[in-house]
Amino acid sequence: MTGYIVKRLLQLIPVLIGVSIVVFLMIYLIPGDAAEVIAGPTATAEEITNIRIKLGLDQPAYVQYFRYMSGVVRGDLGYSFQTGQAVSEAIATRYVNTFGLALFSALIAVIIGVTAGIISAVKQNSWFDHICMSISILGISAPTFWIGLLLIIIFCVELKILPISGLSGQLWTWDGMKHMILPAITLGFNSSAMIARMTRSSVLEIIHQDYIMTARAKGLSEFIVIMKHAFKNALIPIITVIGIDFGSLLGGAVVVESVFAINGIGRLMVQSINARDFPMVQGTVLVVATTFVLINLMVDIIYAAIDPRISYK
Amino acid sequence: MKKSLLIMLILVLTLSFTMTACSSGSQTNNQQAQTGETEKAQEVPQEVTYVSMTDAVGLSPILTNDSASSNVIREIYETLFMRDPKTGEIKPLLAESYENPDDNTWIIKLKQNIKFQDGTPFTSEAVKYTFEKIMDPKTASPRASLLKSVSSIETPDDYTVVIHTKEPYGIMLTALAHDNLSIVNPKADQNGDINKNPVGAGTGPYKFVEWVPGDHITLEKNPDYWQGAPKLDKVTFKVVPEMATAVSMLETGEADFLVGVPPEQLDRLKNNPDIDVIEMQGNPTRYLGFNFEKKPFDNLKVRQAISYAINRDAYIATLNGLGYKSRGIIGPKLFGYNEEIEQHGYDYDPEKAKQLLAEAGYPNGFKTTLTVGNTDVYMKMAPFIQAQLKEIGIDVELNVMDWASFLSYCKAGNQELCLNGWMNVTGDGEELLYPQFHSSNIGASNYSRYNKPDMDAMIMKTRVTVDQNQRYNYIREANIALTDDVAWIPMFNDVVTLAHRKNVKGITFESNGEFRLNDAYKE
Repeated sequence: MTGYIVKRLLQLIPVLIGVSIVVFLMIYLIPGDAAEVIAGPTATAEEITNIRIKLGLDQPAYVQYFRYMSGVVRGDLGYSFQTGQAVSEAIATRYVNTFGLALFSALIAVIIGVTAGIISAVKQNSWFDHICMSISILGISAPTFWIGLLLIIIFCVELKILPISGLSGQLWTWDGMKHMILPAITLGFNSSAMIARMTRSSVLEIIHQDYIMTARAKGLSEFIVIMKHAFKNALIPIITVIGIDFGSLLGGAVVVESVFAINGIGRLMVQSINARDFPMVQGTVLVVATTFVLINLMVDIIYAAIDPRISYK
Repeated sequence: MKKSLLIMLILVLTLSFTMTACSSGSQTNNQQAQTGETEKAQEVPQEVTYVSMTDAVGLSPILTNDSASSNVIREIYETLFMRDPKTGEIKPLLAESYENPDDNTWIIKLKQNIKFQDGTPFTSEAVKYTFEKIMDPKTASPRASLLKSVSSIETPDDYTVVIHTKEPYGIMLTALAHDNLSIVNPKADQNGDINKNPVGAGTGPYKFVEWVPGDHITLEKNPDYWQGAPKLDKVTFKVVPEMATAVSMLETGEADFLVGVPPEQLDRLKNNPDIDVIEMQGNPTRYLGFNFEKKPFDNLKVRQAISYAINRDAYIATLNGLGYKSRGIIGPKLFGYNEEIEQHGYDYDPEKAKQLLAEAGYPNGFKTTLTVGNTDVYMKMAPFIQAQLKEIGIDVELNVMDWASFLSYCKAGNQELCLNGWMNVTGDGEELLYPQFHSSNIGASNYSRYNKPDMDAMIMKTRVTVDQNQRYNYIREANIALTDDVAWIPMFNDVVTLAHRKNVKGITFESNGEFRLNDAYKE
């Protein structure tokens, strides 16, 4: 297992180099550069040129790329073109916020999704099943910003029981949690719908198999039959969905971050792309890509833990 | 039975998670409300929160050129002169007086007994240091052009600055009132990075406390402020990128004020009994621009036809009162505007438009592209213009791109038609004329690639003439010439808005959408 993990971690290196080249080319090839954005619409050509020289944007593309990568190899992600802030520092602050949001919403999604999925499968075609699956279709199809704004109007403006804006103070304090509830529900709603549908179909497939009938015939309680024999064997696809979802929550929480004014990594990435702030874009994409790969690795390890037929050599 | 119990148990566990969180939130908020009432009975905390759609880029006036940064910079730093928000006149701020012994020399006397926020006395050395740093190409200041005409700066004593210019520089006072020429404390600048941490860097009414990039900036009162300590103890600039969220925050009291209310949110705020909305005719202008280097837009008749084809009154009616019409390129809130311009320009007349197109050699119209940056104001305007031009046979394809791409695309002259806007920081018509219509700015801010020697000469007169009455006349004449030439089609001028909680008083709001908090307080 250790050998497998080391091998997967080493595979991360070419993935990140590939990602860095793609990101660099995309930023380099799309129109506009950081100097024009910093200088603003009023700037003269001379002002733009001076900023371009200061940022090193007057250098050939390969020089700019290798200069950046030589810093990355030494653990230096560089400085934002726009604000001059160290990229690592900017990412660290926001990563904590986004990670907390993703974790909290994944927790909500798993609890609601798995529970609803199991009950819907066990009670197939019941009123509960129909209601759950209808809500899950709503969860998958309703735009996140709409759900977020709706929750703000209900819980913050009308009922006045929760605050609107982003994170305040430490994430794991009560104040932090209070600010996190609505964004996490908004973000988790969509994921819980996906997980519920996946859990339902996965459990349905299992509970019609012969060994489940045998388990019931042995006189085991329905709880043991479902949780130990059916659910455990249905877990693989559910964990895959949760893993992929958690990764995308980290990089794709930008809408929720904007609606709830959370200072997160998704928003930083979008702002940086708009400002053509190459070091910041590169830094955020590399961090999100690394996280994504690590989560996938973790999912693979969990497979082995829950299914003895899977082993890595 | 067991199965039902199990299902019930799982359901209860799932729901309890959310319910516990919400009900606890409710309890705490009730407690907060009670605490708030008790505090209200005692004394209102003198703290306000402003919500901004974007974060500041930096906090040094030397290195920034965006409105989010300027809003903070204006509270920390001060300029030598400022434009009076009510009269529009330039008046001294850190300066005491000035004189011109000749057209190329400006002797500026400074006020005495003013200190930077760290206690360092404000002297002429700070002025010289700030301006020379801006002029240094290595600094790469985005507004270095404001001091382009300056040849040297002398400081004969602590309270006198002598600025020599290479040529007469008629807009010197206007430039010196620009936020980007705010005076920085040399000691603070040399000891640290004032772009991130401007502790003690200015002479303004508020001192820098902290900046959490992407989240908020906090300022506190400068108790030693030379015009008297402000009443507010603390000001927070909170970044909230989504306007609907910002409006909700204002409604709940999480925020105290915001600027730039969009038309669709205006009624919601006006109908709230706890909120006041200030509406004021502003100087930002939105226009349909041409690329003069591309046919057929070099043809005056084609430009006139397009101007006749667009019903600006109908468009302004859709803005819920947040736009007003002026026929001129230089609008009513700028120095150099004269009412006579309203006799010029072209009103909606589609038949006349078709006739002019035919005279120009396009009886059946033509195909063209309208380039649009993907911001709300232009995205809404683009399909309107597209539909109006279709009526006279001009087939418009929309070319939508993000803002950075838009700037680059138009500066390179790739566009045919484009939608853009202009906001004057100084309130002087010259600040629009030179960047937008002088040929030396083609490839930069002259998006129209307007290149006419007569206009260049006229614009230069507005820059080099020191006599302000004469300058006014030159700007007035340039406005008429450009409007008659359909250099742009002015679509509308902004009605600028500031929405605030009713208990927040004393905010100074200006026609360029900027605000000052010197006299603000909370009841």
